[in-house]
Amino acid sequence: MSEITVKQLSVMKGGYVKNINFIITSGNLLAVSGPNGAGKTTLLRALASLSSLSSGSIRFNGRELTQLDAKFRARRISYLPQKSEIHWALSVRDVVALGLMPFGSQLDKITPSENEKIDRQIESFRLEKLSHRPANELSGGELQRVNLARALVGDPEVLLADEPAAALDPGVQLDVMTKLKEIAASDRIVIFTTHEIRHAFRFADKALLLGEHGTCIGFGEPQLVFNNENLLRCFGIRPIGGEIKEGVDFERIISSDA
Amino acid sequence: MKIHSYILLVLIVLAVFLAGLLYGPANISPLEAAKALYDDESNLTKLILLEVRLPRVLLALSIGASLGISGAALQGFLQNPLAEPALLGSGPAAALGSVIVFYFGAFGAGALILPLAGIVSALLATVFVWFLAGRAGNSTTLILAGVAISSLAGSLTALVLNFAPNPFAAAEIIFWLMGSLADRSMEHLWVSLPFMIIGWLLLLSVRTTLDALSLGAETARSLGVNLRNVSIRIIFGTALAVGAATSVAGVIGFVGLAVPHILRPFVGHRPGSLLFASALGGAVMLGIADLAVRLFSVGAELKLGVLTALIGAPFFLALILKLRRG
Repeated sequence: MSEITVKQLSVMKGGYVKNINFIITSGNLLAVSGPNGAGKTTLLRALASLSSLSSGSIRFNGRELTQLDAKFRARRISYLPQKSEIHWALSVRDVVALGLMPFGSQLDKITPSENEKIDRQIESFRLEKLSHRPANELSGGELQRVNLARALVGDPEVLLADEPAAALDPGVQLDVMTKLKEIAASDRIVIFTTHEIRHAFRFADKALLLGEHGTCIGFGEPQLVFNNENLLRCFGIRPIGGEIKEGVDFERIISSDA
Repeated sequence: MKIHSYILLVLIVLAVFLAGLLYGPANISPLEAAKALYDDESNLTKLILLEVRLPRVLLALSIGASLGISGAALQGFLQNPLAEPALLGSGPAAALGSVIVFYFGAFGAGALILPLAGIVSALLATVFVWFLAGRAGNSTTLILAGVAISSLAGSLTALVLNFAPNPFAAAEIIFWLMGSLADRSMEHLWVSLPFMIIGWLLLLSVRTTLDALSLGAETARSLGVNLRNVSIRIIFGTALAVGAATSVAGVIGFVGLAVPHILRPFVGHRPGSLLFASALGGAVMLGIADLAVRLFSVGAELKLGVLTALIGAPFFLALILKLRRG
């Protein structure tokens, strides 16, 4: 059982979040939502140890995240950045293999057991036909599957995904969300950021809503966090029909007292 | 790249080495060469082979390797196909150091003063770039710092030329700046090779990291890469390799840019595997270029740096067209 405990977390550099508190355990999919600039990426980067904390703490299985060795941490916590970068025409297989780097794996010396792990992910994400294609020539949806395979090849305890469904067509968005749900169900912690409240509402087990200036508006069951008051306060919207439920659409309320 | 491709590259390096030793303006047949080398007595053929050609060939191979590996490392680190070894300023700084020695006529103090001055100034410039760029290892600030130091070194070199004590000194400096391996001795090799080898080892030590950097700095960090540590190794590795190379041979362009480009498809576009391949490829390219300079010069010897620049311009154009086609 893995656990992430965030206490009084504030980050002031390279983004802004203030006084964030939550606990998440394995088997849960946590959606982090909030308006543009609310600090979703900043929070995720802090959880990945990519930005330094101004105050507070992040504990992973009881140990301070900042005290963990970089390789030890990388083996357990995988991170998918918002903007996927692949600078050279590396094959899909090589990109997946790079996920094993924290275990000392080298691209030109892949062992049979490493090959097995890579094959398993390639199969799991239906990448067999693409495996020798240059990854920088793939479509957005294909690339996101490759990225997820890369993030999971080392069998991490935690997956952090920054806007994993952004800029994908609706079908692929649902594929990605379903996959994230499956990954969480396989006894992992999955934390993803999203603007898409419907995804958070439908797929996530827990939701964290950030407001302006990186403050926490709510944490808990999605239906409780995305209540009418919070939606109005954070996004200036309300559910059509007045009640949030699966498949609901929203309307824009210009002023908060409307 | 499969192991047999590396073996093939090593064999080509050996072939270039032998060709460089056997072919030159003086006609020496392989049989004559073998005989002369086994002769206990000193003779003219042996003198040409061991004192003139051997240092020149070995320098061409080691300098080519330095430029090739540095170009591959910088392209991988900066994730930029147009990065080349002189980008971080060590090449121009090494040239400036050597030019200052020319200015003061200090090479009378010994043949080694020239390369030593080059290496020391390359290292000084690198430390300066390091402090200027900040310690975070951000590639944009690193490039900016490198460009700033390069242009400073370039303008100071022009200043030295401007105040050259006499036309002969100025001509000497200009010829030296063109890049050449003529009249180099084994001493030049011994003074520069250790620095180059340390540079190669520093660069080879980051090969796995360079693969991870293909996915961007953010993902690489999440995979446990310490960017600061990597940038130190890359900056000082290229400074030592390129600084030592430039301080002995003057400015030689194109090799460090082109070799990684040519070999990249053969290593599956893996930046890490490209390092060793580019070292071998650079050795082959500069070895052949120097052989061409020696064999085909009429009258005044064509300078090696001029030849590589002449080949380099069309290569650059081809690269631009390829990038435009996307």
